[in-house]
Amino acid sequence: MELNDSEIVFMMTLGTGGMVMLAVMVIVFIVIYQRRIFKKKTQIAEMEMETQRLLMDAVLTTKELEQKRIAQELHDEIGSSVNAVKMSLIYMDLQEGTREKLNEDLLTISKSVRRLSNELMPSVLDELGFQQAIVHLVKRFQESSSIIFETKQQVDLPFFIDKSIELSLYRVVQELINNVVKYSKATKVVLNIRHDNKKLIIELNDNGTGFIPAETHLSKSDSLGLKNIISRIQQVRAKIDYLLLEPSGTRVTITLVKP
Amino acid sequence: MYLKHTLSHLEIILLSLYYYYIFERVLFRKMVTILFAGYVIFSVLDTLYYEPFSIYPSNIGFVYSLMIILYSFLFFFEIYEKGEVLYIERHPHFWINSAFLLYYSGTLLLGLFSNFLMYKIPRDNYLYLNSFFSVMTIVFNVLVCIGLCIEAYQYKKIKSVNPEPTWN
Repeated sequence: MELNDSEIVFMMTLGTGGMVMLAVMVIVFIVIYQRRIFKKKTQIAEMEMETQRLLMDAVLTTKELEQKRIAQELHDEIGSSVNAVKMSLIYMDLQEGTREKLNEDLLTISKSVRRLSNELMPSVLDELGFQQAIVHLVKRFQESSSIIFETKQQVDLPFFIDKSIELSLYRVVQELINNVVKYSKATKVVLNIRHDNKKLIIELNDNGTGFIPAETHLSKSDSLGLKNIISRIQQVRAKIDYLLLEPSGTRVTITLVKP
Repeated sequence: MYLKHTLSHLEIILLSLYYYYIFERVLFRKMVTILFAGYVIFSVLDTLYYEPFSIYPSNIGFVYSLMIILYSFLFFFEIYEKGEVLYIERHPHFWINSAFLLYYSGTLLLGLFSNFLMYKIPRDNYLYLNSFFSVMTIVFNVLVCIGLCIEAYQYKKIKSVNPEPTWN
């Protein structure tokens, strides 16, 4: 079939137009569906993260419950047994000095049990609340190290901090101070807790060697403390930031925003 | 026509290199290498037996246009499959790639039938069809320009957010 000139021009125009249209359609398709795919992938990633968070939440809750149970057992069972032994000593016929020695040992055991029980489940948190528990915690670290501690706290915690959040924050502060005492070579630590109606900020400053955790630290098998901090921070949906201070030291800031 | 032959080869070399470097998948890079090798063989045979240096290289043009259209599809497929970019229009290579896709799709048929159109239809009609080349070239240049501007803007932004570290 022979085509005349105008038909050839028409066919070429049509063909070229068709090709351009197809190319445009491909580009539009990519723009639209690429966005959909991205959103879907983001949704899946968020769901996975949420599942992981819930799982971690369950693990930590179970751990706390178990620790509470052990602390209770230690306090009630061993504590009362020690008391019973102490009472029995009164009626025993013992050599001079032996009674005192045994009493001293029992006192040491009793103190150790109380300390262990308190570490497992800080009863002071239930009895006196978060802020006093922190004061108590700092005091304990003060007693066992040469570091000078300073605590600044605003009174009354915001209403959105419930008991489970208090416990997680307490554990995080405990782990942070523990790390400072163990590794930072600091001579002074300042703990500052402030808040308004919308957020709570816990700031821990030290004048030690300075430390910012990186992925490499987290991948080490002995970095359980750091991993625990991250898990607990995620559990309460807070944020943790590390900042190196001049001339030396680290500032760790935990920010908890009202949900 | 010698110049046209040389330019065609230069064009496909540069574009193959461009796609070779922007593809992240090893398979796609291998495809670029294999297709380029195929193109070299085809162009030698075509020049020896069908379209010598004195004739407009329409077959070669058609083949490399197809190659570049295929590369564009592969690039889009790669981005689509990765699904890591929310706003693809902020990706400089998206614009450059779209420019290649549109230009080579729009000029594919004209390039293939160039020799026929040049000698078999009246000059006015030929010039009319040839104006498509001009339109597609304008579109091509505008899109590439947008891509380069986005690249420059993003580079500037990254530099201002992350200045050169002054510590350690």
